[in-house]
Amino acid sequence: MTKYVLKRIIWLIPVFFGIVILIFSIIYISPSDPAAIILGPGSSLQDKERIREELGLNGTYFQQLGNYLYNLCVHGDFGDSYVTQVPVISSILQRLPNTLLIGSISMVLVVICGIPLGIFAATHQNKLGDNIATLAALIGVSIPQFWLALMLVVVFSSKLHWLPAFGVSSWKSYILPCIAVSVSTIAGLTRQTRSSMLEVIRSDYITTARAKGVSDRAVTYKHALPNALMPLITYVGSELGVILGGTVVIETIFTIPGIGTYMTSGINNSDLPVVEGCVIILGMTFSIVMLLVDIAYAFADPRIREQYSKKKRKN
Amino acid sequence: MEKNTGKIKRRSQFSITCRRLVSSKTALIGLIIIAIMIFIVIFGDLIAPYDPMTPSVTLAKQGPSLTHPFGTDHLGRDILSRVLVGAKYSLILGIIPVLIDTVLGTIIGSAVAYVGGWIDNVVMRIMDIINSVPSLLLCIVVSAALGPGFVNTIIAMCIGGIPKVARLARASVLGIRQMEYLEASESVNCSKARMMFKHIIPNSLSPIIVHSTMGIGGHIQTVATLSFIGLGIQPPTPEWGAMLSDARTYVLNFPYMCFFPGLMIAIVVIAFNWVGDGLRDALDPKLKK
Repeated sequence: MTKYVLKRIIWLIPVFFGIVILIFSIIYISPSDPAAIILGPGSSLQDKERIREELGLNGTYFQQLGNYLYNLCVHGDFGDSYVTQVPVISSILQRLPNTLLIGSISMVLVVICGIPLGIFAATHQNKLGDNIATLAALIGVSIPQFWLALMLVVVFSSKLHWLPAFGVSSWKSYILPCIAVSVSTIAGLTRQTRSSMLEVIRSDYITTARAKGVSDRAVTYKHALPNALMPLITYVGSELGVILGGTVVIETIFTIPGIGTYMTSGINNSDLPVVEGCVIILGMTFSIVMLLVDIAYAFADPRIREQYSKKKRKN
Repeated sequence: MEKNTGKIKRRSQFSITCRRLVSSKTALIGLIIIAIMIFIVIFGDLIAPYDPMTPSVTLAKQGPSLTHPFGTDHLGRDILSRVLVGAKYSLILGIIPVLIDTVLGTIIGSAVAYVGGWIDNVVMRIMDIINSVPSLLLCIVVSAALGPGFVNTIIAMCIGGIPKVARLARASVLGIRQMEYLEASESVNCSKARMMFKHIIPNSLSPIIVHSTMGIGGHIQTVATLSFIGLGIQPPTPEWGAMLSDARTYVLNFPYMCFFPGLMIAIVVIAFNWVGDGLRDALDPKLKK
C-alpha cells in the first residue's frame, strides 16, 4: 500500500511540470504584446524593446520556458503583474484562503446534500419523491452557475434583504456564493448516486440478501450503500474541478477578494502572468486533491488493497 | 394491421435506438425543444419582431409587456429579438466543439488503444496532464491567450474536450478488444482494419455518443460563462452569455434583463440532458428487450 501511495505522490511531480509547461505554452502563443500593456498607449518603440529585453521576451520558446520554470521552482516566482508590477505569487497567496474557503464549504455542502438525495431517489424509484428529486437534479445541473448567482442576489439580497449581495463583511457573505457554486454539483452527485445505487440494487447479492430476509433498511445501508459509494469517491474528487472553475466566476459576481476576481481582472487587463499564475495554482490544487481522492479510494476499495498486499507477499 | 408474411422484419440498430429514444417521454420533449431551437437558429433573424441591434433611448429599460414580451435592455433593444437572434451563437458554439471533440477524440483514443505500447503511454499521459487542469479554467486561459472571437472560442473549448473523449474512446476500445466476438472474428482470419472499423469502433461508440450529447449542454454553459467574464463572444453580439454580461450591472433594479437569456440557456441545456439520458438508456444493451 505504501508503494502505491508513493507511486501516486511521485507521479504528481511530472503532472506539476506538465501543467506549468502546458499553461506556459498556451500563454506563449498569445498575440498580445506585454510591452505595450505595461507601457500603455503612445509608448515609443525603444521603450517597448527595452521592456521586452528586461522581461526576457526576446529569447526562444525554450529559453523563456527554462527561465519561467527556474524562477518558479527556485524562487516560487510567477513573475510580476504587468499592470500593478506586484509579484503575482504574493497576490495569489493573499487571496487563496477566500477561494479555498468557498471551495471547501461548497464541497462539504455537495457531499452532505447530494448523497442523501441520491439515496432517497433510488430507494423511492419511480415514485413521486424520486420524480421530484430527479427533475430538481436535472434543473440543477442545467442552469448556469453565474445565472443562478444573479437570481439568488435578486431574491435574497434585492427583494428579501436577508443576505449581502457582495463583499466579505461577515459569515453571511459566504452563504450565497457557496450555494451558487455547489448547486450544480449537488445535482450532479444526486444523479450519480441515484444511478450508482440503482445499479447495485439490481445485482445478485442484493437479491440474495433480500431472499435471506434482511430488512429493507439493512439492505440499503449495509449492503447496497458501501458498494454504491465507491465510484462516487472519484466522482466527487473530479467535481472539485467544476467547483474551482465555478468559484472563479462566482467570486466576480459577489466581488469576493479571491483568486477568481484576481484572475478576471487579469483577463480584462490582458495581464497574462496573472492569468497564468492563477490557473497553475488552481490546477495544482486540483491535482493534489485528486491525489488525496485516489489514495482514499485505494484505502476504501478492498480490491486495490488486496492487489498491493498480494504483490508484497510475493516479494 | 400488418400482414404476417412469415418474414422477420429487419431493423437496423439505428432504427431500434430511435424507437427506444422516442418512447421515453422526457427524451421526446427534449427532442421537440431541440427541434424548436434549430428552427430558431435558422429563422431567428426572420421571426425576431424588432431589430436586435438598434438602440433606442426612449425604449430603454422597459419591463416585460405585450409589445416587448421579454422587456427591453439598457439601450432600448428588444430582449426577445436578441434572444431569438442570439440562439445561433449559443447553439452553434455548443455543437461545433462537441463535434470536433468527438471526431478527434475518438480517432486519438481508438488509435492509441489499438497501437498500444509506449505511444499509448505517452499520449495518455499528455491527456492526463491536460485533464488535470479543470476544463473551465483551461478554456479561460486559452481564450485569454488567443483573445475573444468565434474561432478562438471553438479552439478554447476543444482543447479541454478532446482529451476527455479520447480517454473514453480508449477505455471503450480496450474493453471491446477483450470481447469473445473479437476472438471469434480473429479466428476466422478477419483483417485488422476490418476488425477496427467493422467491430471495434461501432461497438465502442455508445458511451461516446452519450457523452457528446450531454457535452453539448455543458459546452453551451461554458460558452455563456466565457462570454459572461468578458471572453468568448463580445457584446453587442446577442450571444446569451454576452447578454447576461451586459445586463449584470442592472440586475438589482431590472432583474428581467438577466432572467430571460439565462432561462433560455437552462431550457436548451435541460433538453440536451434529457436527450442524453434517453440515449444512454436506448443504447444500453442491458436494457434491451
